[in-house]
Amino acid sequence: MTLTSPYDVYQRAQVDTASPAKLVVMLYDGAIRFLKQGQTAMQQGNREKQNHCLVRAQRIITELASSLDMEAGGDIAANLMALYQFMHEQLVLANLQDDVDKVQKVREMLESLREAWAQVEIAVREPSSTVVASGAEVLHAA
Amino acid sequence: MGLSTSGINFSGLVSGMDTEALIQQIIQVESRRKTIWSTQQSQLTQRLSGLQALQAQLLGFQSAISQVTIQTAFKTATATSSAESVARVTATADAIPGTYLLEVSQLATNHKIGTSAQASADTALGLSGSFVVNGKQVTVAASDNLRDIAARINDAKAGVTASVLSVSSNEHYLVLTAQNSGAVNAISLNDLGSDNVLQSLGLVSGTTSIKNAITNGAQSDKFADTSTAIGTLLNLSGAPSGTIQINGVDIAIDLSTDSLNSLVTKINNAGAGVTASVVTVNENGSTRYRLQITGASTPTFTDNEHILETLGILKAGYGNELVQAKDAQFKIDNMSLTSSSNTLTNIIQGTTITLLDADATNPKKTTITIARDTGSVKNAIKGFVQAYNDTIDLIKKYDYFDTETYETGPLFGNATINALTAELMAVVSDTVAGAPSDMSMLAQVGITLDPTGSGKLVLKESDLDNALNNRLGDVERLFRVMGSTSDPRLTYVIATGKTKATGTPLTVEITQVATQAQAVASIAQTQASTATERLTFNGTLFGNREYSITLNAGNTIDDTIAQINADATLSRYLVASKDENGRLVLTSKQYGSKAAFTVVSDQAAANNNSGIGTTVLSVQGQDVAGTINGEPATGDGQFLTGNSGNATTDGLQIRVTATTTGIIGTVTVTRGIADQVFQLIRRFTDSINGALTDETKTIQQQIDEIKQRISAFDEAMQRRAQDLRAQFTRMETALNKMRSEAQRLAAIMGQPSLLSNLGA
Repeated sequence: MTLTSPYDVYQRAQVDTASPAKLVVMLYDGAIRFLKQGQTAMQQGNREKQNHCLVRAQRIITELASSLDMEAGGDIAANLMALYQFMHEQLVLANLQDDVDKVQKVREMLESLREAWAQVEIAVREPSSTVVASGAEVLHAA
Repeated sequence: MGLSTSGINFSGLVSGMDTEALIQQIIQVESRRKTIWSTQQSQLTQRLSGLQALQAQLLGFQSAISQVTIQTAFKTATATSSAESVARVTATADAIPGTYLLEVSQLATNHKIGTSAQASADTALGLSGSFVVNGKQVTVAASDNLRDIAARINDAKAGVTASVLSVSSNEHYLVLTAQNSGAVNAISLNDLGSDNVLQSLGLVSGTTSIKNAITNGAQSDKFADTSTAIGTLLNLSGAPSGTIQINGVDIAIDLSTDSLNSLVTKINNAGAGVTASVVTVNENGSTRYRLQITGASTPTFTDNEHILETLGILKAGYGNELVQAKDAQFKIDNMSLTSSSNTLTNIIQGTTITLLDADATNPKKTTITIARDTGSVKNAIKGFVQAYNDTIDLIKKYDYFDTETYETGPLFGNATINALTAELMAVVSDTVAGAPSDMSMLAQVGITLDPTGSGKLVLKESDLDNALNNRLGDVERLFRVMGSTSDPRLTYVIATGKTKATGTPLTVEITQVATQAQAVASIAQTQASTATERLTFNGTLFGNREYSITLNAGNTIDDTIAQINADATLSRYLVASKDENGRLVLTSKQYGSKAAFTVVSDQAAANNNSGIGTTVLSVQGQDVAGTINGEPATGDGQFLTGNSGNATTDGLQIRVTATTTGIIGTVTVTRGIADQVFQLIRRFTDSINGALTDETKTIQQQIDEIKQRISAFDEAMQRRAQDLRAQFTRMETALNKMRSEAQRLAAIMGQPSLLSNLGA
């Protein structure tokens, strides 16, 4: 039996109780965090950590891509899929080429998308704008 | 009769027919087309889900591939220490396999000194005055207790940690610990003037000895300048003054006014039988100065007010030295080495060794072994095979044909999926151009296509292990994209997916070599400057942001060079030096046209300044130019990249450090299987023109069209129903009229049967 830190418990509780939109925001946050760490590792020449961080971010993006609901999401979901593919590829290349700029570009894209999702998440919580919420929730299947 | 042609319908009031049911039947027949569309829509949606699942799978596949094609994949090393209690070791990708014998005779220690025992840690000690810790002045007040003094020392940030150690209620010590280990980080302490705070605390003893001994004499610590007062250089408030003795001869010194130069004059004029002089020493690229005093034999020094201690001629003995400042002493393969720290970085390339135990008489031994970590490469290759097979499985999940039920998967017969599968299988069975023939196929390292025709790869681990252990470099070529050059002046940098990896040598011809931007002063400086001088830099090299440096008054050309090279900003961009004529030369670190900069002085060029002058000097480097394989290439500094659209060298980048033009040598690019698969997937998933992307877009469009068609049809059907209702209503009205007419006729003609014929 492995020991579980209170932080892990807290994190899991967050994930378990989160709305789909909140989950998406959390995934974005995770990806952005790994990219930041990856950039630092890159600048320090720590290839092992760089690889670890960028691969973790790639996995998150793969997760986001596979959770897209193409049927319900329509064009927006298709566009998001294209964005996820682009960002994922940039990260793979950045890792192969030790290209900090590529990571930065993806990070900026993720950060601006994250803001959009955060707005959606607020809309979900505040019923006054349920139209936006229901429209957005269908993009990523819960 | 309330018959209506508007919204409300009265079904069959006259005719007796169920007209609404009739209408629904008619609509249903006409809606059969819609059912076909809905079926189509659900099929398309299934196809879309299949494509999406495949796209996500391919992302994961690319990640897995990158673990084999990344630079470090084949370079991981493991480092082990046979005696972990003596030393621990970690290795990075740069470590080179080998075995090293490490013998540790002494560990590096952090210098630690203590006060004499104090009765209380919280009672004012009544000590006031200043002292110097590692060059930082600390001033204490009479009201300070032991803890207050510790806090003041810590506030000085002198690389020393002060703490109070309480052994019992009436036995307390102030302990100073050097923050870094090693002899070079020994704590330097001296009292100032007549306060003698350190001595009262027992941190230093009353005896002094020569600090920096030289033959027949002593030398001072290092100072930045020869003409500035020592007190100013050391940033002392209340620098000591008094009369010292050398060989018993009185010399009056005031460190608040005396500089190294004036000290030399005073000592030489004192008739003490010694010679004083200033010598220069180089410290990290900067010139530093020491005062040297020598006689026929080592002179005697008598200090006063700690003046000689402040200069670093003498040092006070430690009152209570708890731990000496020692360097680590060890041997690697019988070569004796020392280190101020117990953490040895890159003493063996690519490793970090932490020394943990030592013995002076019988050195502690451990064997450090660095080996290639084929385990992690193997895992990466297994990950590649697994991801390939997962992709094939996923494709099968959506692209199948059941020969018994004639059931087909949503992506069955899809041309894009068929092409992807066929190309994947072709690539993994292909040979790598330029690789040795016995190591040019995956089959040769135990990875073959499943003989049952499932399309999956089968891994024979023993074959892979064998290849990894004996032919690691060749295995690497089999997976990664790699380049090699025939000349040390050429370095392969990168190839893109568009570079054709022919595996044959491509000739590199250089027509222009890369140069740095270089500004040369018009006049050589031969005299020390008399005033400060401001040099202002700008240009592309500086990001088009102005940067200025103020050169010190009294600078010689060497001082100016040292000052520029020590400047944190300037030293990032350029290097200062002098040419054979003694003129100042500023050379950009970067090569090429982007290394453009300007420099200008606020003083007209003269032999007592930098010689840059007030006319803006504007200089620029040039980019390398030439061809690779005879194809055009674009230079950026030393980097030469094959132009976009080139048949072979598109995106191929090499670094050219040659300083002459002409044919320099060749570059050879090979593309391993994993990278080929990667490029193949890129082509299919490209977000702009990838086949899978197109396919997704097309299906999305088709679904949208069907949705529109259905909704347009629903509207049309609604209108149709309304039309029908209107028609039936008109019919009922007509029937009603006819019925009234018939009743009238029947009454006239006396034939009631007419009515029943009309269905009334």
